[in-house]
Order: sequence, then C-alpha cells, then structure tokens
Amino acid sequence: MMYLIEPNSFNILKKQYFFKLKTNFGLIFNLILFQIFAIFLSLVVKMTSSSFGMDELTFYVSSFSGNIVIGFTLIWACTVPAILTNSKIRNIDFTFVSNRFTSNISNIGLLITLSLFGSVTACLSSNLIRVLFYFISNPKSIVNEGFFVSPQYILISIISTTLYIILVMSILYFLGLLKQLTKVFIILFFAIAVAIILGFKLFSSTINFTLIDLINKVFNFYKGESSLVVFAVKVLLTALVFFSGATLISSKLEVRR
Amino acid sequence: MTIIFPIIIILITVVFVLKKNTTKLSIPVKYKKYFVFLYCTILFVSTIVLYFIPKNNLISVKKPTEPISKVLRELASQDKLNASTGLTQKGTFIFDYSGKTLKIFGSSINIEFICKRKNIDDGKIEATNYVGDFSYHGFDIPDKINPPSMKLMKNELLLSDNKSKIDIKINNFTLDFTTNQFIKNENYETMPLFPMKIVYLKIPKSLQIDNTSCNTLQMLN
Amino acid sequence: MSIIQCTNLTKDYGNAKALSDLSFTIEENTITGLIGRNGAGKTTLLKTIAGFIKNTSGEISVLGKNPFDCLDVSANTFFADDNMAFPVELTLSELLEEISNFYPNWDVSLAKGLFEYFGLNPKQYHAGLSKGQKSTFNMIVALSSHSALTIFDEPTTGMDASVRKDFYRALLKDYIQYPRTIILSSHLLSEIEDILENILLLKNGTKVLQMPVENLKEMAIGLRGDINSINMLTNGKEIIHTEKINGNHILVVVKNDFTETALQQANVLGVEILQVSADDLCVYLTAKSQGGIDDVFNRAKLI
Repeated sequence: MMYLIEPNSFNILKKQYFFKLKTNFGLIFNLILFQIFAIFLSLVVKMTSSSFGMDELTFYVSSFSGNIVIGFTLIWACTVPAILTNSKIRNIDFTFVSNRFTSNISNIGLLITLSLFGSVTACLSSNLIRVLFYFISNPKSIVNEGFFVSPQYILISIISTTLYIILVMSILYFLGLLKQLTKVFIILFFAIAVAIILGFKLFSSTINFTLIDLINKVFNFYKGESSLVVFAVKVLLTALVFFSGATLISSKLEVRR
Repeated sequence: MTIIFPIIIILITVVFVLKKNTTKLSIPVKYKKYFVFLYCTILFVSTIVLYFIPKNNLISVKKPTEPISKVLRELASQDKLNASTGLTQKGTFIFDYSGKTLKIFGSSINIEFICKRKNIDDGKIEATNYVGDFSYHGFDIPDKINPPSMKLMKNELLLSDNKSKIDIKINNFTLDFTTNQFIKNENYETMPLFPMKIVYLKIPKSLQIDNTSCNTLQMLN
Repeated sequence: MSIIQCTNLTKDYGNAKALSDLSFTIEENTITGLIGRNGAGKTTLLKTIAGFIKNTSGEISVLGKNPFDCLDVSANTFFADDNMAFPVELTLSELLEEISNFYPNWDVSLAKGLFEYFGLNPKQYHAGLSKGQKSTFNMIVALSSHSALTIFDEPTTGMDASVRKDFYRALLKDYIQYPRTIILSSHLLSEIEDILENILLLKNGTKVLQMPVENLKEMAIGLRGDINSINMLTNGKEIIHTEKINGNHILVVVKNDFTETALQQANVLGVEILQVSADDLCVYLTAKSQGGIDDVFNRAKLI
C-alpha cells in the first residue's frame, strides 16, 4: 500500500518555482534578443537632436541614452505574462503536483525574478552603449557629463526599472488570467470599462475633467513621483492588488480542458 | 510617418514572440544558454571598461562666463582688451581715411563696436577684431572663427560676413528616464553664449561717426 | 476503504449535461475500467476526480476531500491522457529528473528500465515524439510515479499492438508489486478485460452498471434462432439487443437469468446459445437503439 503523501504547500511552491526557472529560459532569451536590437537602435537612432547657431557657427547636439533599451525591456515585460497565462503553459503545472494557489504564487515569483534580471541587463546595457559609442565615434565629440554613470545611479536605475517592470507585469498578468475566465466575465469587464469611458465623454464638460486628463493623472501618479521610497510603495501596493486579484481569479479556473 | 515605422516593428516582434512560445523549439537550449551567458559577460565587462576610459578625452563643461558686453566699456577704457579678459585678438586693419564722417555698416553680423577717439587727428582708423571666449560644453572655438572682412568705401566702413561655415557635432549622453525621475539634475546645459565679436576702432579725434545703421556702437569718449 | 465516492455528481456545460446524477464508489487498491462510448462522459468524470474540473452539483470525495484545487489530492494523483502538457524546453531525460522531484515515491529504476526498453531517446524533446511514443512516455511517467491514485485516460492512443501488450503487462506487474488504485478508460475493453477487476459503464453521463469483470462476462447470453422460438423464450424478458441475420433468423441478447430447464428448452427449439463478450455487451448496453446500426438500413428499406 502506497503511504499517502502529505504535501507541504511551501515545499511544493519552492519546487514549482525552481522548475519554472528552468523551463522558462526561453523568456530570457527573448529578452536578450529584444535588448540587442534596442542597443543597435540606440547607437543608430538619435533620440533628440537640436541645432542652434549664429552666423557661421552651427552646433548639432545629439542626445543618446539607454531609454530605448528600457522601452524594449518594458515591451518584453508585456509579453511574459501573456505567455505565462496561456492555458497550455498553465496546464503544465497540473501535469504534476499543484493547486491553483501554488501555481499562481510560483508564477508571481518567476515574474519578479524576471523583472530583476530584465532590469539589471537593461541598466547595464546603457554602459555597453556608451562603451561601444566611445570606440565607434570620435571621443572628442562626447560630453563628459552624463557619460560616466556613477554606481549609485546604476543602483537607483536598477531598482526603479525593476519596479516599473513589476508594475507592468502585474497588470498584464491579471488581465491575462481574466481572459481565461468564461466569456461572460470578459464581456462584463469590457462593458464596465466602456461605460466608464463613455461616462467620462458625456460628462466631461460638466466635470471639467476629460478622459485624457485621467490617463495623464494615472501616469503622473507613478512617473511624477520623485522619491524612490514612495514610488516603491506605490508600485508594490498596486502590484499586490493586481496579483491578489489574479490569485482570486485563478482559484476559479478549470484546467486541462 | 517616422513614428509608425517603429510601432510596426514592435508589433511584429511582439506577435512573433508570442507565436513562437507555443510552438516547437527552433534553436537548441544549449546554444541559447551560451548566448545569454555571453551577453551577460559582455555587459559586465563593458561596465568595468567604462570606468577605465580616461576622462580627459572628452569634452567637459566649463562654467559659463559672464557676458562681456556689460564690462566691455570699462575694459576698453582701461585698455584691457586682451587675452587676460577672455578675448582673442584676431587681426588689425589700418585704414587711411581723411573724411569728416564715417558711416558704419555692420550688415547682419552681430558685432559689438567700440570706438575710442585718439588724441590726434592722424587720418588713420585702426580696427582690431576680437573674439570672445565661448562657453558651451567647454568648446574653445575662437581660433576657428574668422574675423569679418572690412572694406572702406568712400565714407562707409563696410563689414561683411565671411562665408565660412563651422559645423560642430556634439554627442550628449543622458541618464535613463527611470533614473532621471529620482535625481535632481544639475542643469549644466545653459544657453550658450555665443562668441562675442568685437571691433575696436581707434579713430581720429575729429571724426564723426554716423552710427544710424549700426546700433551696437559704444563711444568711449 | 473507498478512495473515491460520488453522490449525484452532475456537470453541466451550458445546456449539455456531461455528467448527470452519477453515484458510485471506488475502493482502494483496485483496477477499475471506465467504459463508455465517445461523449459518454468518461473524460469529464476522470478530470473531475483529478480535481481539474469543478462539478456543478452533487458531491465528490477523493481521498476524503473535494478534489478541486486540493493539493493533497494532486500530490497523490497522477492523471495521464493523450494531451499531457510538458515543458517544451526539457529533453526527456531532464523531464524524468524534474518529475521525480515532485513525487517522493518515484521509482527511478522502473522509469529507467521502461525508458530503455521502449527505446526512447533521452536527448529528444517531448514535442518531437510521435503519437505512440508520447503515449509510451506518458505511461512510463504515470507508472513510475507510484501515486496512490493513478488515472489513465485512453492511454494506448497511437501505440502499436506489441507496445500495448507490454503496457498492460507492465501495469499489472507493477500493480502487484506496489498496489494502488488505478482507473483505466479505454475503448478496447477486449484487450484490457484481463487486467481489470471492476468495470464502471457510463452512458450519456449516467451510470449503467458497476460490477466485477467476471460478473459482467456472465451477465448476458445470446440466443440465435428462429424468430418465433426466440420470442417464446424471451417472453417478458428485457431484450438488450436484437439483430437480424437472414430470413427468419435473429440474434437476441438477454440477461442471463435462465434456469437449466429454460436452457434445455432452447436446445429443443433449435436455438443456439452464445457467449457474449464483455466488450460486445457494453456496446449493446450503451446503444441508442436496440437494433444497432442495422436500423439505419432497415429504415432505408422501408422507405
């Protein structure tokens, strides 16, 4: 007689997390592809260029930064939850030992790990851009200030970018799981969203507040924050809300249908 | 137009990535792992290399100097128009002129004129060109700027633009937006002070200057 | 002790009822065959037992708990069907290693032995296997996991006859060595009836019968002969199946509750008594009409 196994949730969580790290390596490969393309673009495309001059003298100033790489990393961050909430990928958990809670939490752990990795590579790649640029073009044309990034700035960059990626991933993970729900819920969700948008459009004259203003306000809530600690709190709370929502949804979902 | 193109590329990449992940593998995982490991190594190496790049090779910002025009008068009267006050001399013209009045045409050039009367009427006009210090990301340009050519015709001093063109390209690196959000930027990018071009005229004592078509003239005495 | 207990189990999909008022019990350490036609609800039932699907109403208890979203049930159950999801990035040998982490009772030597015996390539990826090889791999994993409840849903899809034979033999041998509860659903009852202990027959989501295999084999007999004689013999009895042979001769399948004298009477009337295999019996019991497919042709003739 097989003695019955009494599983420990935490134990299973750990096993699932490491299992997912091994099996989702393709996501990291995608990230690298995105970043290499972005590095190439950063060297070639000038983000801003201004020129000014007087008489016979004209200055052309081109600005470079690692923003393109971070932008592409954020785009990659959008693809990751879409893949993880795919029913084929979710079913893999249930081939083995799992319940919806452990499956979800190990997914979230994976997302956070990937955020960190994506952030570190994105921030370090701005250094790569600078070094490459130095060897490609005339050093005499490069401005000293802003070229050397001090370690504390790199650290701030890593923390901040990780938070941005987590924010994006949490929202999309929630939406991805929402998509798995029965059609009824999805229609309901969109109906509410459309109602809100229409409501704004109709009453914007009276409320003195348009939809664009609302979107701007939401953006600035995160982007306008100048204290790293407060920003971290904001992002982590938002992520917590969305991840909790996702956990709630996933406990209702059927698998391996 | 230029915005659409990158958006299309992004959309295509996203769709491609999503499709690829639910179908069979194309590249063996081992090669992918080596590739990723190589990339990470390059990143770390480049970070280290960055700190070994000598600073001196690059342009650095000097503090913007005060606009000279305010103190020009004083400097001129004290005969201090030379390199110590940040001015580079660029050649002197001496004209013989025996007329009573002199009209100065500056054309469209931005030039500051300073006029000093000599003590004697020697029929000669001395015109000296100066170029002021230029302060933008520490570029030292004065040596590149050619003084305007001067012609004395009848009773007019004509200055004309020389047609040389100087193009300077600068590459500026900024921090990523995720860092910028939390750092108070010391704004070192102030509006550039363009090189001050100065013509210092020493005119005969009794010469009258007609400066109706030139409004940057300062008479010293 | 019963491992699985279902009472009035119902599962709706919109308007269609996949399972309807299903009640049964499965005892510990038995091999049960789940038999039924396509769409009878076998897969739905198995997935409900494994906790993948939630029942609409009724009660189900596996290992004493409701299996939906239950980690205890998941840790002690292995569900093998023909579209098991495996990660794409791992080779077969890596997969075996990862799977063994999840099952403390994993039998390494059995897995290795079966793997080599069936000639699978350890460096291959699961997605690159043929259908038969996939089924073989799934079967190896299911057996080696030594889970207290092991469920096979159409495990032999794509397997050739020799592999199927080997599978049944391996299943039986391992079951004898390490007894556990096994549920096997298959179309090919004739092949597996030798290893099954019990049979649970489903029709349109309801239970037709649940009994040991031996009982099923003896449950009905076939009578072949003249239509009048047969009508006499089977007067008042419930006819399971009728088949027209030629002219006046028909074949009838009825429950085997004949006395000795009744059987002798059949001999006298010139009616042949035939064995009904469990396979055929299940087909008849789950048929929509009594006449089977011949009805289509009979109706055609009438028109």
